[in-house]
Amino acid sequence: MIVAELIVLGLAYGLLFGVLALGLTLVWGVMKVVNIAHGDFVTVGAYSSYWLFVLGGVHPIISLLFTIPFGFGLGVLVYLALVRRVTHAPELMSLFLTFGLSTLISSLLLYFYSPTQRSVDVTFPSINGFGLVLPGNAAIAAAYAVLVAVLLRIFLTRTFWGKAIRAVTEDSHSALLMGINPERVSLLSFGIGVAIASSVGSIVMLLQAVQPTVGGDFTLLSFVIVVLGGLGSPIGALLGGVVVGVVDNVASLYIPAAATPAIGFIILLIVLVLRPSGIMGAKTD
Amino acid sequence: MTSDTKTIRFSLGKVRTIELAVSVVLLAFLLAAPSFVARLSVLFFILNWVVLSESFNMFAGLTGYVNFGHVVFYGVGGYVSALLMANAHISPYLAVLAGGLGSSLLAFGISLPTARLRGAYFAIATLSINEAMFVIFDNWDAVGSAPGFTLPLSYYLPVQQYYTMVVVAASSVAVMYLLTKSSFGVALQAIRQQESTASSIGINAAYYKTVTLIISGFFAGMAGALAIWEITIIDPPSAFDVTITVTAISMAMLGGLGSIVGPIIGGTILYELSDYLGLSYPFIHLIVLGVIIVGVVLLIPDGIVGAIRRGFAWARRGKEE
Repeated sequence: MIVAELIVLGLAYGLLFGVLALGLTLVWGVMKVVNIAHGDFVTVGAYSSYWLFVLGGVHPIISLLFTIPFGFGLGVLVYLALVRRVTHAPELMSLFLTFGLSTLISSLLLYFYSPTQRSVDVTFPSINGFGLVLPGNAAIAAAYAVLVAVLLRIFLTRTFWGKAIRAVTEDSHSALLMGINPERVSLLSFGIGVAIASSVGSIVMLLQAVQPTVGGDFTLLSFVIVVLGGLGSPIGALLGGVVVGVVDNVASLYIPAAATPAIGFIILLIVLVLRPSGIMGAKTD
Repeated sequence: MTSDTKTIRFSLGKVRTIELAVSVVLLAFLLAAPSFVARLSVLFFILNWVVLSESFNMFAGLTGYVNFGHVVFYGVGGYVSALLMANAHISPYLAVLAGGLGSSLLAFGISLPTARLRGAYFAIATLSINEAMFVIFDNWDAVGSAPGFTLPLSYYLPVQQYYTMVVVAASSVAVMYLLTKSSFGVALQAIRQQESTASSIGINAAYYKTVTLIISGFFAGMAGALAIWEITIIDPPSAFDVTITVTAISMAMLGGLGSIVGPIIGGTILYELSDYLGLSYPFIHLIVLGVIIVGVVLLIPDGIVGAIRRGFAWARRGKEE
């Protein structure tokens, strides 16, 4: 029974982190930039929600109304000031740039808010069904993830700009010939990517304590998921998220807690060796 | 094969007098330093950082692949040498060498699954290695697990440590020079510029990347071994501190990625800067490194060396006109 409960829990966490990875893969697809600071935007969102809760008594769910537009604005700003200038440089440069940005964000948070662990005390009633118990907060996380995934899907398939993002992902040169401005599409997708990360931060506040350097873990987690699902494949990202979530939670039963950070690494290596293009096999190069 | 040797000889024949003169003066200064420099440990750590960033530079600068887990070589090198000194009581010089070899072995191990990965996939894989190594050493009782351990006092020999450091630093720069100017370096350049084309003309990219990573790991491992010899204490948080990777990267970037002397320039400047900042404002240190990495990428992607080179080229053009 414990295993079944862990699987359900892993499913909930996995969906949330799958959506987080979706933000990473969206940016990768459009501008071929791997955003190493992705997880640090989660931390920024989490800290925003934390302070809104502590200082203003704003419920983390309500604070999504802030973290989503704030994340989008931040993403647009970062794109215009920094990322735009390396999209045509060698890949090395965008890796260094986002790595430096990640260092900058985490050290700024460290400077202003100290390394203390922060958490909010908000609990939703747990859900019982089929003899299983799912903590309410995890259920909220899963619900939010599904909502974002569905909205993103509608946006990408039903709206002009969504289709433009897919067109540029497919073939940016042809998209340009069709009158789509790849610059604007990049701006939009980077904004959405960061908005997703920052809003996931609000939800993460419901699930765990957060401290300034936790962003690296989220980046790594998103990478593992994205690699598992195939860079550039949205459905793959969600599937990858679910796989990682479930494996992570179930494995915690059998291996010592201290070794759990190594699980993601092991999954990553296995996938990279056996199937570098991921489960959904999105094309590379 | 014959054409290879010819290329090597040809390029090495082009050592310019000025380069040679500067190297000799610098080396003479470093060798004579113990007799007139009061704080020898400052020079020691500058050289240690030069080795760390030069070894990072060997791989990233020459192959175009980023190894975000560079610190694992430093940590493992430190552990191997410290264990040998504390348990087997071997000569510290051999221990430093063993630390380098241990990290080379690790580099080979890391290459097995990752050498065939392209671009970002490689960077992602290395990003996770750090975490994994930390977890292993933090839970491994035979290496002292979380508390780590301390070297016996008898190993503390400041002047000998310093001279070993000079030898390792000088050889890391010399090896970078050889790698850059040899036919091996030409192959790496081809891989960096376009790996698929390089492969299509018969360059075994995975082999070249593996060998380069092994050499890079060897020097970073010796840097770790030397640092532990000087600090005398090793534990997982200090041996696998991500800040070390961040620092090595910013030093190499600031000096000029891919250039031979870049890490010497970047390492010296940043060591002095972060020494000052670290003493006075603990948390600002990392913010400054982040700003430097971002700033260098945006403003001078080829670093100080590249900027100087462009300055000279610009001045020469001006004279001709």
